[in-house]
Amino acid sequence: MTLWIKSRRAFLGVLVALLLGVSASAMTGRHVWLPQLLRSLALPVPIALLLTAAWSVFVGYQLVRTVLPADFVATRPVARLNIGLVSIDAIAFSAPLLLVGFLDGAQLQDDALMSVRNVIAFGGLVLIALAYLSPSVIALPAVTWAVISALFGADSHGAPQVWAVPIRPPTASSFMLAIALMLVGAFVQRFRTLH
Amino acid sequence: MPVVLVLGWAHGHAEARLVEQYSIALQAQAFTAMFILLPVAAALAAWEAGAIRPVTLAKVPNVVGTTRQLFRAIAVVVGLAIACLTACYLTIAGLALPNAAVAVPGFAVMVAACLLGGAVGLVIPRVVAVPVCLTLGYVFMVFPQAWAPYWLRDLNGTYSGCCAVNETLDPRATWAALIFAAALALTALMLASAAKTIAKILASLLLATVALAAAGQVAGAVAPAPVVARHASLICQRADVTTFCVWPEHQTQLGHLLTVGTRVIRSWRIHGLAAPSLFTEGTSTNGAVFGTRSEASSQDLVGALVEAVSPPFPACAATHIYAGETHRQLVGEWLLAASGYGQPATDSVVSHVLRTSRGAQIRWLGMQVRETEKCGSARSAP
Repeated sequence: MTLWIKSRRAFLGVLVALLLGVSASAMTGRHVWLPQLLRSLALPVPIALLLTAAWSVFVGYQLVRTVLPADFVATRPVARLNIGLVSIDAIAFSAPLLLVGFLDGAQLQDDALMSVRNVIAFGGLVLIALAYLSPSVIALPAVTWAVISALFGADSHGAPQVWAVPIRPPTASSFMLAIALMLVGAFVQRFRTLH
Repeated sequence: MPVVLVLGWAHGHAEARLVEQYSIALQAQAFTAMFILLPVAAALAAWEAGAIRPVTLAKVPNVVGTTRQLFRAIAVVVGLAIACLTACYLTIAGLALPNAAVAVPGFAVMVAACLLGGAVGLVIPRVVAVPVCLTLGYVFMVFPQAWAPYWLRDLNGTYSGCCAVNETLDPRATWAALIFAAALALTALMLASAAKTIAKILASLLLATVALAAAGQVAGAVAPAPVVARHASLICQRADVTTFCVWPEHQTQLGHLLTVGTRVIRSWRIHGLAAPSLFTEGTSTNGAVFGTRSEASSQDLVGALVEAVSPPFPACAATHIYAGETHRQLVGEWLLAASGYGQPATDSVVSHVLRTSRGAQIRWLGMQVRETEKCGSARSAP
């Protein structure tokens, strides 16, 4: 257990996630009108989206910074520990956002919930990628989804398209999708690996 | 990469539809494919360099230096990136000889970004390097388009504000992007060199900052758009006593312009107005300056000629409430009605004026022109 905590730098990870969450909450409500490629219009993209992507990169780094084959001969349930690590990092990132969201007005609440939803979805994607992809690219699906949503996410009316979930308002359906991704990630992580 | 190429081409093509068939503008729009190509190329370079990272980290004497290993690792990515950019360029801008001021910074920034991506891939693990290069490449290409200060926009090798047909690319914008690309490449080489000490990494960051400041100084004078007035030979033709000059891109419009313009000027003369003897799309001190486009209709051409002979906005209009706006509109309405191409409303001021004598019309016109020079009180700050 101690070895796993040290190898994943779990405490540092929680601290970094917390710092990213605090930065994201400071950026809550700030948007950049980014030009949409292939369409002559701009879409307001929350700056906190970049910090959410940075969170997924850091979590990816934490999960694969040790030699993965060692996990397969470990006596501890490494897969479950990995799921726990992603969950704790997600909570550390979300806590300041939820605090800011519920202390401030409706707009900030929406933006904060958007970041929380994205962290859940990206965490799920990182876990799925950890089970199926090369360890070097486990953060890439989440980051690519964020970048592609920001680049091409607008429809002809300038509203986010259905698939551009990272830039969509935090609706119940988008939260359900994010939670489903996290559950699928946890499931494949639990049952694709030896532990 | 093929998917990225198609997306890059589609973006460049969509942008190119918005500009006229003006060579430098088409070329500038073709290079906007870099919005998509550059982040992916940098991320791929980081991926390729990540493959040799364990070798460079090993404390063993290498036969081949780290920098050379980096060049070998990313050569294919650089080649692909250049090929994709060239393919976008050829399909959008055609086979015309590329304008070096547009093409060189584009390719230089692309190569420098690949080098920097490769260097990042050598310094930090792939799992971080690849998404970081993708995200930062995206931020570098797209965010400056949305943010002030404007000079940041001119450093990434794309000139999406270039150029209307009477403009050309400002050479300072080219230099700014080249300085920045050189600094990126130098930073990459410093990061990639064998001994990675904190001092070396800090020095490379310092170099990048200094270069950004230097490039910013050069580009700062260019804002907001990287353009200067165009000085190319116009194509002129004379009809009656009036000469019409257009840019070469509008040469096909010249015959149509002569027909419409001659009729308009004759009609103005009948109403007692002495029209200028020169109408030009370039700059002129003694003629009237107008602007047209490739597919202009007769009505568009008449509108352009009316605007050319209308009184200019006075300098005070920039800082004060412009009191002469209504009078300027009346002048425009009269010019359009007197050209024979427009009919004012039956109960309008201009229709009453048109029923008066030639002398009265000219006196009325002179009075309106004098009124267009007046401004009201100063505008309050927003």
